[in-house]
Amino acid sequence: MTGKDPVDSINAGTQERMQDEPGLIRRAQSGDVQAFEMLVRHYQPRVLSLACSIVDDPADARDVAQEVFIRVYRFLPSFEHRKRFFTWLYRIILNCSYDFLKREKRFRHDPLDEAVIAGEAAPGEGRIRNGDLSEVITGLLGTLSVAQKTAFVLRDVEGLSCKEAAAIMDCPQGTLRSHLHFARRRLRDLLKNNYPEYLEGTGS
Amino acid sequence: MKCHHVRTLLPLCAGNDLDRFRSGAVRRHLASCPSCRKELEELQAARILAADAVRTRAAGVRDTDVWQDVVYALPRREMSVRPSPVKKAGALHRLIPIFIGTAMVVVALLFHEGGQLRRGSSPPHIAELPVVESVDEPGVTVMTFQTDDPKVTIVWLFKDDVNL
Repeated sequence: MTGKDPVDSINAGTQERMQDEPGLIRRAQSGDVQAFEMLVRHYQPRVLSLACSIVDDPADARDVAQEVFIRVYRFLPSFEHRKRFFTWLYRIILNCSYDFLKREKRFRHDPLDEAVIAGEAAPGEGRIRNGDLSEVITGLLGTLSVAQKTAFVLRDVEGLSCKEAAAIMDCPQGTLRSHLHFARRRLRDLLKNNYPEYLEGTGS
Repeated sequence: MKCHHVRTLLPLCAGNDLDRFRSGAVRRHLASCPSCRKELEELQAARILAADAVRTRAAGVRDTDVWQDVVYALPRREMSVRPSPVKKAGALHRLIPIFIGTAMVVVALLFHEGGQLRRGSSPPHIAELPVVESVDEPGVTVMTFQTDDPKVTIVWLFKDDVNL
């Protein structure tokens, strides 16, 4: 999968208005609420999508998105134009999502992965045994550490390049690849051990 | 490359995240190793399956409009960061009565001090009719005037009807 700029995937009408994004950001920085509204309406699908991927709940994602845009508004005057806006925005989304998970006591630091590598059952997988595919996958992603899950979402769901994802996560690319390695391997192991039917037709 | 070495690289190979040198070495091994090829296919399938499921779940929330929530929360945050010009004008308005009150007190004090000064500089007035007294010396008459100031008494001496 190639890394693509989030701006590429927006709809045509909004894209036309967003062609002068730096100008729009400058106007919003000077307190133009209309310009800020255009930024919000342009980026809200991506903010909601990423927040939902991290916090696992649409209603929670809406709260996180609201907090994201309030932080953007507050800190927009300090945004430096030599940086890419969406990278800056994505970092705010991650920070708000992590804060939310910490408040909800759902923040998972990096777990030991020896058990998964050995093919042992992961904690919490039983609760998703009878769910549909989306819930199954959500449950499996919930067994990853937050860093592994974030790396997987940025790279494999959002389609960002390793360089962009590492910049957003504020870590070296080697660390990002390590998180990706464990995330993909863990998902494969969990699916293979608990839901082999989903991997049927791939040679298993 | 041996299988155990290749398998440590397969999770990254599944997302095309290996550098060209390692990717080439892995591909050459896969061409002759069905077991590793099967593992790569599983990794790719799990990766695509999971990514699609996350996108599907997130798709339901993408159309939500959060602007109304955001704009409702903005002014309250904004006031705590930067006081608006209207708020500054309000603060100035609140000071006006204090200025007026202070000015009134100052004027009242000036009037009071002025009155005190005027009263202090005016001469005492004669309050009663003079008392005429005669003394032992012939031809001399004394007239005593009592003023409104008890400390001040005016005494006139006359000799042969000439005011001394």
